[in-house]
Amino acid sequence: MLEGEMFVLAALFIFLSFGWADPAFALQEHPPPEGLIAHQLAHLFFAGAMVVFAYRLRLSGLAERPHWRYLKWAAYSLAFWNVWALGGHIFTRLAAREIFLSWQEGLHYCYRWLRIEGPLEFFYFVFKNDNVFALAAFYLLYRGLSRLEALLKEGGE
Amino acid sequence: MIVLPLGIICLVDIVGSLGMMVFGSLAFRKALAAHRLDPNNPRYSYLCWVCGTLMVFAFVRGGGHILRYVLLALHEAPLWFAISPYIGALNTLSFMLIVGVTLFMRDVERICLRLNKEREKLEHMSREILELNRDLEQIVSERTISELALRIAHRVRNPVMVIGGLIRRLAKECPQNEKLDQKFRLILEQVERLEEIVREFEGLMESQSDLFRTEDLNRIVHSAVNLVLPEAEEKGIVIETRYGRGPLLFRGHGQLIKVALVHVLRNAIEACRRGDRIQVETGLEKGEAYVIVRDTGPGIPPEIMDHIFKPFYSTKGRRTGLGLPYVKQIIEEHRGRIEIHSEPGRGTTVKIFLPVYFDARPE
Repeated sequence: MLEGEMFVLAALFIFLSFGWADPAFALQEHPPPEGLIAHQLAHLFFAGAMVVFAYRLRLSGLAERPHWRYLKWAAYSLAFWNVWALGGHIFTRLAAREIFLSWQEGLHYCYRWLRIEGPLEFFYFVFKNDNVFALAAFYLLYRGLSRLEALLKEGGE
Repeated sequence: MIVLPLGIICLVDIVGSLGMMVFGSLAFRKALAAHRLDPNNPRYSYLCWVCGTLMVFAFVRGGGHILRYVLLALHEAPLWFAISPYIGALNTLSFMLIVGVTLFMRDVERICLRLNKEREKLEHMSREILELNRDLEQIVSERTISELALRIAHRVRNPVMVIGGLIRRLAKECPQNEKLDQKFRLILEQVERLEEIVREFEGLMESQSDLFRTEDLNRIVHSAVNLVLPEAEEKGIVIETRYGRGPLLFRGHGQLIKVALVHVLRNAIEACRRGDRIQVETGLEKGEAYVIVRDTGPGIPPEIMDHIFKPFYSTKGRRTGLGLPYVKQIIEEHRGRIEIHSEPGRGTTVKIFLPVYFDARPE
């Protein structure tokens, strides 16, 4: 009986709520910087997860074996890459349009030149080359797994 | 003022993106191969997931970057700007996917450690069971041979003795004849050989005691309890142990005593219900080492108690009923004794006493 009364009250409340003129703010907007912030936070989580992964490999003693050691260093490289890429995002946001020199209107980014006037532009140039670490990480990952497969084919780790 | 070409950044980006995709997919293939080579290892299955998500990340990120260069080179900037938010979102999602999968490592390691521990336990137990079986087979074959030899010796001994006696008397009574004496001597030699064989047969039974060594009862009880512990745990029965101080040395066959103890413990486990307790206690009392197995099970009805040590008397239907009589035989062969006290509804207590041996350390 009590349940029936509760249901009627809840239905009445919802019905009356529709009659209110004020906005309910049920749906929140997601303006542009939010995506970038979410992406940068994801970089930090990614880096943290890789450090935890490498730490657990060390803790479990697996990292003493060469193939798992490769995976440990791949994880550390990816963690480093994440921090580096995060720096790249920050310096890209801070970089002014005027530092990208071009002799022709609408020229592709790759054909332009970077005018280095201070540390900000220099860091932009350095941090934009983040793929060096990402590539190294993926190579180490491949090496580790390749050795693991070879060992398993020989009969075991 | 320094001016640097942005082409370097583009070159590193393109090479890096392509490399990430190549090594990412190769790593995933290797992880899959490792998983196929040892599909029961959760670590390799986990590596497949980690490499799979990293490969997705490499393709979303690297592929996105390459696509940007291609579309911008083809003057399709509006198209790129239309799809780039989706690629960016997928890129971020792939990060979080990697985070989720990677952090699962802790659980995988815990599962692996537990699996390894269980496997070691099983290996240890199966080794013990194999050893026990081997010893039992040896004991049974030795016993069969000894009993057969003893039976033959008993049957042959009397006729041989009679023949020997008669030949000696005949040799004395017969008139002196060199040829006849020589034949009697030859017959007597053969009879003496037969008597020697009979004595050797009888000696076989005694040689069984050669298997006796100085053993520690605490060690044997500990090993027997470990062997039946998984069965008890599976039934929800608690086994409590209380070992007497120091090694409880006795002279005997360690494996045989272990077989007897395992049988007593298994009887207790079979009788008990979930939540019951089995207490195992060892100690030294009046020159005897003892082990007491006390359970809180339903006890043994009085009508069964009277027949408990009779061979072929069984309450378990399918069994031969040789269990407790065999246990009793083992204990008595060690000059020990076994006592069983039971009250219906109040549990059963089995006490085994063995004479202690002070002269040596366990062998």
